[in-house]
Amino acid sequence: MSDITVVCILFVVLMVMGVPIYAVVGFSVAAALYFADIPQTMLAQTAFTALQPFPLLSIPLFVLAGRLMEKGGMAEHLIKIATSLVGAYRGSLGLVTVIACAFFAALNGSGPATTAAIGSVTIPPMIKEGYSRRYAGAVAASAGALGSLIPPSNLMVIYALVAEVSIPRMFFAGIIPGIFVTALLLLTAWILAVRENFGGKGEPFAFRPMARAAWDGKWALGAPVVILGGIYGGIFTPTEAAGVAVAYALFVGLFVYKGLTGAAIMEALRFTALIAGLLVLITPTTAFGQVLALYDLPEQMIALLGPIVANKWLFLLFVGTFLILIGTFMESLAQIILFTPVLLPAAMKAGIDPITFGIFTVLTCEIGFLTPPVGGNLFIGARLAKASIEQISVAVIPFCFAYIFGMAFVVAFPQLVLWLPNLIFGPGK
Amino acid sequence: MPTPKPAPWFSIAGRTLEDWAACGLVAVISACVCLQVFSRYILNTGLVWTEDVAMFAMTWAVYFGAAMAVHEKFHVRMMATVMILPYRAAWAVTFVADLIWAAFLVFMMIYGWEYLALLWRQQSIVASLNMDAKWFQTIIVIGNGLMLLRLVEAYLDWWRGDRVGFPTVEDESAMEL
Repeated sequence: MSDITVVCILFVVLMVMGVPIYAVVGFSVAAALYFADIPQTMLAQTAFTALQPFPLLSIPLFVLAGRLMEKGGMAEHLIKIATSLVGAYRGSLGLVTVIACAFFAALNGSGPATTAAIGSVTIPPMIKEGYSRRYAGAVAASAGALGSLIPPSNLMVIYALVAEVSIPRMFFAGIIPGIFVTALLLLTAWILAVRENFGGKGEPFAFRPMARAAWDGKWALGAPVVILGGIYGGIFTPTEAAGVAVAYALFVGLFVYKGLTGAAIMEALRFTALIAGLLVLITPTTAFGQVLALYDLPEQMIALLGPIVANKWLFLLFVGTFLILIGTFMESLAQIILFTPVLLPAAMKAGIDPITFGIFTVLTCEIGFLTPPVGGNLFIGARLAKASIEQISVAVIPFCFAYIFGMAFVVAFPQLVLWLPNLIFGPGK
Repeated sequence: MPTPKPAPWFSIAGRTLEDWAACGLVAVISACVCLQVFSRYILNTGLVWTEDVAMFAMTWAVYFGAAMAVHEKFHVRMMATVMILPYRAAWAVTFVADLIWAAFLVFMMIYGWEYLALLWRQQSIVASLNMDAKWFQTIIVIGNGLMLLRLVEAYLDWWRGDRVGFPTVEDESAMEL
């Protein structure tokens, strides 16, 4: 058995046993270093240096900002605006949930957080107005996944760091697919609502109430303008934009909407610290990436995939299926860190641009959010709707197609994905 | 009747020291990044130290957060296959998995220590802070040590408590955001 086979077997066995991924990757790297006769201090070195890149700081900062915005009253304002837009249609509360999630996704970078922020406000009235619990939970869970597709996005930050591409480019590449998927989610929510005859009791769309809601919610709408506008204008780096988002959320939550309390701030800090703790994963995985390169694993991967790499469509179909399958079992952050270094070289060989591949990867993770057994959004949706995870997992299937079509969209029209970042930052390399 | 949970080791007001420290460090990171933007645009001077402080605070926050995550049963691990097993078997596999985890933490402490010993032979001053970078790197040993401590504590708590569920894995139905 070759050394690399032993390492792979060790990796799979430890993973299946439920060893924390931190130790799974750590021991796999240690084995690979041992076979290659490289001192183990390399692991100790990356244990520190892997956490040093400045862009990495944007992840806890976006998490903190999102949590503060959620507790500070911004979610309610976004929902009011969404209601003024689509309140009168069939299944209006479902549509409101989708639109409000899309708005909230532009303020924060996480899928489960978006589901929690919007779902906790829109699910109870849905159930009160006779929507099924399954539907209510599924809409919030699936639309919440937009949190990672519409910038800012923590998954995109991680992908950009691993793939060594520009974070702002990734962010802007997510906008058009994000709008596309939002439209499909709206369509799905509407069709299901018509079929099950859920009501739409809101006022028909009129400009005045919409303008009124938008004006009342101007501070909430202002957040994405500050975050994305600042990055777009080159005023600040993504990390600085995340820092400004925290300050903005604090200011609005404390002085404008006045929803923030000391306890809520403390809770937000604590939640952020826990999420930051998850990032300890990237310390051994950085060494993992270096070891992979050492063993020429990406090259072997290309050789292994052989004819599949030759055909871009076949390759993406294969990789997409693989990533969705992995995503059902694995946390998305870990999935991106582990598989990007292996798959990206093959993707580039197949003629796929790394930014497009990044959006594609993020989309597969979103489906992972929505599939049991490890689907963050599912748990939250089920909990908020007081339905079982099984019920929500089934109800969410039609919405998953929105994301699958999103993947097809990215594959079919990569030029549309790249259009916005190229327009703003000039053509990529 | 569930036995009341004893206060964790090294804790203040029911929360572990690393919990407080990690929250404080997240606040420091936010403040430094904001200060950097503020000083550049409002005061028209670039501060050099903010970026360094934020980065070092980040490294420490991550390890403290990771130790918190042990206490909160929040670590990322793939439990889908294990949970198919009956409770006793699943418990046993999880226990072995945790032993492997503990072994890795010890491994990291040993090699982290060796790495620090190498660093101690030379000087590498962080100019903006006028401090030797090696002091910050001690977190490798401290962080992995803290995780190990909380892992052992989790098992002791489980043993002294009502011995239901798993010491280090959250019951899925009780999962909170």
